[in-house]
Amino acid sequence: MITDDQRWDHFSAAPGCPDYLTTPNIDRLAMAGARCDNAFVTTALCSPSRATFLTGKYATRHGVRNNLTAWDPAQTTVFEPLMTAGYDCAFIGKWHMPGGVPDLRGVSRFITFTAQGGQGQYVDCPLLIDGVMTPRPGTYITEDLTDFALDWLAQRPQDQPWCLYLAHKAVHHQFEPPAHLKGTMDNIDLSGLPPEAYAFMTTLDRNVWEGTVTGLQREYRRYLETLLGLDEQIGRLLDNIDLSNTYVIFTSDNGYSWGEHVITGKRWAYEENTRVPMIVAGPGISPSHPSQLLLNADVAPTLLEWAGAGALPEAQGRSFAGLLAQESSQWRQDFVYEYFVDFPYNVPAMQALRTDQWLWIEFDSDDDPQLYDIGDDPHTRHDLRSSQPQEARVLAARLAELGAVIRSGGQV
Amino acid sequence: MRRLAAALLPALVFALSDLVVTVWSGRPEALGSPLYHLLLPAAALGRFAGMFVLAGAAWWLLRRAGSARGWRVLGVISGPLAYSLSAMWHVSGYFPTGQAAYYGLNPLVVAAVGSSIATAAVAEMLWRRRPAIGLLGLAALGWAVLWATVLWDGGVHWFYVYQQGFKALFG
Repeated sequence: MITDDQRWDHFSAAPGCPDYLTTPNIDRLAMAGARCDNAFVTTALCSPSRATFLTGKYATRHGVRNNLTAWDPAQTTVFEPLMTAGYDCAFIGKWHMPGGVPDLRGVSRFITFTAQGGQGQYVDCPLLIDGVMTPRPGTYITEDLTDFALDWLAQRPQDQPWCLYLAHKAVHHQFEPPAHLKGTMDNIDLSGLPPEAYAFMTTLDRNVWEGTVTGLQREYRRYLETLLGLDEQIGRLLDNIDLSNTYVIFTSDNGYSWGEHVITGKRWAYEENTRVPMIVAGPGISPSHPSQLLLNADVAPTLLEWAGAGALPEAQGRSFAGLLAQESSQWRQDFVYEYFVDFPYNVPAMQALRTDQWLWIEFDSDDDPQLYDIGDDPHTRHDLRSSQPQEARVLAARLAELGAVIRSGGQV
Repeated sequence: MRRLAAALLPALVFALSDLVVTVWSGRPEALGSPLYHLLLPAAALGRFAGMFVLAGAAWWLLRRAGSARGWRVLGVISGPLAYSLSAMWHVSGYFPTGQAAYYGLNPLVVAAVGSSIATAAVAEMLWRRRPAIGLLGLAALGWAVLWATVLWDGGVHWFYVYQQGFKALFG
């Protein structure tokens, strides 16, 4: 399950979740499995991140560098080796990669949407069901996609293994909750929003294209209500899944800033954007809180290892199956983040190195690099580049080294 | 000089506000929280006023000064133009020149032009102290442009039109 724009700390079992948010169904999954608190995406943007989930590659390698660069149909997705291994696969939900909806190899069911540039719409969203555009009047998209997922689970051959990729529109802008949840967050206390956030900051160019022009607090309340609606639908799906014989990964395509660094949106290398929820449950996975640095690029290799399927060609992520089964403790100590310019968003291209302790960011613009000690400063408010020049040099060298590995297609 | 100042009033308010935002945004510790949370919202509103609203005030002031239509037209477009130029300059560090120029035609610019025309039409009716069909139509048209480009579903529909234009030009 992939949600959209859900921050890593926005489900109630997550450390640091605001106390006004309660998500009992996501929590249920988190209590049953591994709540991976250090999970990240390699590009905090919808299309590149989704391509990474499907291919196990960085944007540099799969080619979907931003929301305008086309998906290459020649890319092999996780579904093809799964199908070869005998799995029945379905893709239900948000595709949202430029270049048109492809003839996706390896799936027996492909339901997606093309409205609003592929973002879809919360109400009455037409669905492209196995190639046939189908009006869906009177529907709310999170519920509608869940209905299709449940139908597929119920109707498919019960003696064949399966893989369901369910990608929700929620909780992306336009933050439209189901009718029964509208207004339920109107009276919560939002005094805990970041100190640098201020009224009308959503009208600034760096934020305005996120569609939050009507105000930070108003949009954030709708975001929370939409998230509550998402949680309800996740509960419906979980009610029909047996975790004793089924693996579930719950995550998001990227995070979202609500005022941090005077940003509403994603794309930046800051924690609020790159860090995502990652809950993994299933056979052999004990309730735990692993702290290793996991990536969206790791998801496809993990699914393939669980399925006993062949590896994806050129995948750069690595399977965390052994890590979660506590069979292996060897894991990466750092990773590279990359962002490419995405017109018209006012965000410079950047590369970053995230280690267990540090975040080092370099911009392809006149902006100075930035250095943060994540352990002491999780909200990245104090740039230490000037006071820690030696650390900055070491991290810059490592970023150059690891960046070269990624660009050449190496595994990370 | 008074005419020039009146015509450039929207642009000056925008520029001053934009400068405050550029220098102080994200630095509450430098100003102290109370001043920060007073100054920055005011500056953000100042940007908004310069872009969308103050054309009406400029039109009124220029009317009172007996200025020719050319001055008044300058008063209508100076705010949106200042924003457009500022926006292009801000993104020129990471968008190629052609794309930065296209950014100067973004939906906010179109909306600001629409709103400025509408407020100027209202100012003209106030000056005349009577409504006129043509001016009412102009005001309605200007606000319709504002609504269609940035207010309708948060501007998402026009945004995708704008993006299609980008793809056609640069894709």
